[in-house]
Amino acid sequence: MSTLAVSEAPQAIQRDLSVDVNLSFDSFQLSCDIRFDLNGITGILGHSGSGKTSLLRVIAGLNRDAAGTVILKQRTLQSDTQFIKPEHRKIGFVFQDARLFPHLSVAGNLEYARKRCKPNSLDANEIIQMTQIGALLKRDVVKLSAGEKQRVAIARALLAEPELLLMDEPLSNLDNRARRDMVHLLRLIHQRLNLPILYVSHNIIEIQQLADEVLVMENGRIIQVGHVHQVLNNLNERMSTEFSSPTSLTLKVKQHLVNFGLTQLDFMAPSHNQVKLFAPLMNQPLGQQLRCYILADDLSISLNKPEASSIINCLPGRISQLHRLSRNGMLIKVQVMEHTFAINTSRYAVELLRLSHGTEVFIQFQADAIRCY
Amino acid sequence: MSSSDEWLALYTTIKLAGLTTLILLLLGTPLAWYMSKIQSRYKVFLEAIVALPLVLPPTVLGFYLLVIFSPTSTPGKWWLDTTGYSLAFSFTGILIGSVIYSLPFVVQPLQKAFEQLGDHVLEAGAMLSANSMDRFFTLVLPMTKASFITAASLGFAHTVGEFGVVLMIGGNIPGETRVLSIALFDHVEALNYSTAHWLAACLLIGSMVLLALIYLLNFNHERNIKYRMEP
Repeated sequence: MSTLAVSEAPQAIQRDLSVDVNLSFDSFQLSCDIRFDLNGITGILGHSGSGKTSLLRVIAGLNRDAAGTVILKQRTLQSDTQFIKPEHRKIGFVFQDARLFPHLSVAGNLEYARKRCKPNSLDANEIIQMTQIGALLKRDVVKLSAGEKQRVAIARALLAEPELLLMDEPLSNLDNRARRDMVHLLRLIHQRLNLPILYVSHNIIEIQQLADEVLVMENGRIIQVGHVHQVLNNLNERMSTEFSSPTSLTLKVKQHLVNFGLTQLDFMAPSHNQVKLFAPLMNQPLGQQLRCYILADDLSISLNKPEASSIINCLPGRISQLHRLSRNGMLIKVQVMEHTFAINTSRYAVELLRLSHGTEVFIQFQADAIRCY
Repeated sequence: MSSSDEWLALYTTIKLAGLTTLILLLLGTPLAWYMSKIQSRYKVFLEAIVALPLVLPPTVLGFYLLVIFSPTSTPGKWWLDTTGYSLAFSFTGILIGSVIYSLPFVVQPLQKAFEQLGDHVLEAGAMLSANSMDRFFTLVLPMTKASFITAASLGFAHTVGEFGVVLMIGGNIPGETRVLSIALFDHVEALNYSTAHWLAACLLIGSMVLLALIYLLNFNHERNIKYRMEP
């Protein structure tokens, strides 16, 4: 059951974070009424201008013009009669642009946070080691790479020992490799510190890799909330098109076929174990649960079960939705047991195979289409 | 005039310029901060008032201050009743005049620096539990240090070079209101050109050295920024 709720939950239910705010500026209007239980990484997904950053800024107290209430762990941060300043909210914020203090070294930036957090319960060396910035401590912050800056910004935010960490697209300025490392770091932070994180991004893969719960924003409103797989596999037509939504699922390591360079994966539900899925060989223990995604471009669709094919993954399913992506492109959603797979194909193929809602099909994909971490 | 009079004029000048700069930093910093933050249309009126001494003839400012300082005016009478002496033709009088006259030279560089700094760094500070005073002293001040030095130097140099306002409201009282520029004027009127030459040369060289130091500081600051920003 989802730990997120929008409006439908009775007011009496206490959640860790409750946000009921309205904010208008220029032609934009933010209108949110949501309650969170802070027990993991909550992703906030939306395109540019959907209000993701504004929502974070309101929670942080950086936008005083917002009207409404913000309650964090039964502490009213904002209401019609009171407003707690950002410096007293015990909320950390990692900005898109790191915002390190240029007149201080890396160590100086960390010390700045440490000094203002009384008492200190976190071991600074552990944070430095975890964020891998030990070698940077004496460096001038303006000479750091984008990835290094974000690591320092994250370490600095952690050393302030917040009750909640807000992250506003912290990976958007990083290259792919730095991005991968940072995703690993953020998951590590969550596991080791058990710190709730609200993570904003317009990158659906980042959200898929990091978030346990997801809320989707559009035009200043929250339009969808729920578990990451449930939300990402059921984005509305417009959002699916915009985000080229991948199929999101959790799989379990069944066995390693070392001679073939493959790892066999199972769906989580035992009733689905007759289906065999193969991914590239990975260094993961048997039984390990993995968050995986498959890009819509990596899947193909067939009316008959291919008996002799080099494509080793094949799943039977039924078409549940067809969306037109572009003049010639189509996005097809196929229901495989309780999982929804998104497949990009052409209008020509849809016409040729006479695909429509309810058609029984087989979806195929190569082993390396399954991306796990 | 004896040389001790010139030393006294130098002392008065430095005292006036030093106190003016100090007062301007104390008053001008919050004013510049306020002006850098307000979004209201009244900002332009405030900016115009602050910039007025740049274009107003010093004699105009001096004339109005003289009227206000007069014991027949309400503020002048209040001052006389409170302190026992008149503001006109006093050191305090020329100090008030100097503060007003040099106001834009301190406020404008600071306002520009605060505007360039923006809110980003301050927001980051707030999210690390730094309150507004803490943020000012630990973030704003170190990051706008060069602008503070420029503002203080310009305020000091401009006060040293002040003539019209001091002449109108201070006159020429040795040890009280007789500053170097007034002493120079005095010597020229008395056809005492050799002393006038000395004083003029001292003021010229002093001003040049001070300005060169300001520009050197700014040059180093900009080069430092450029160096730090290189990939």
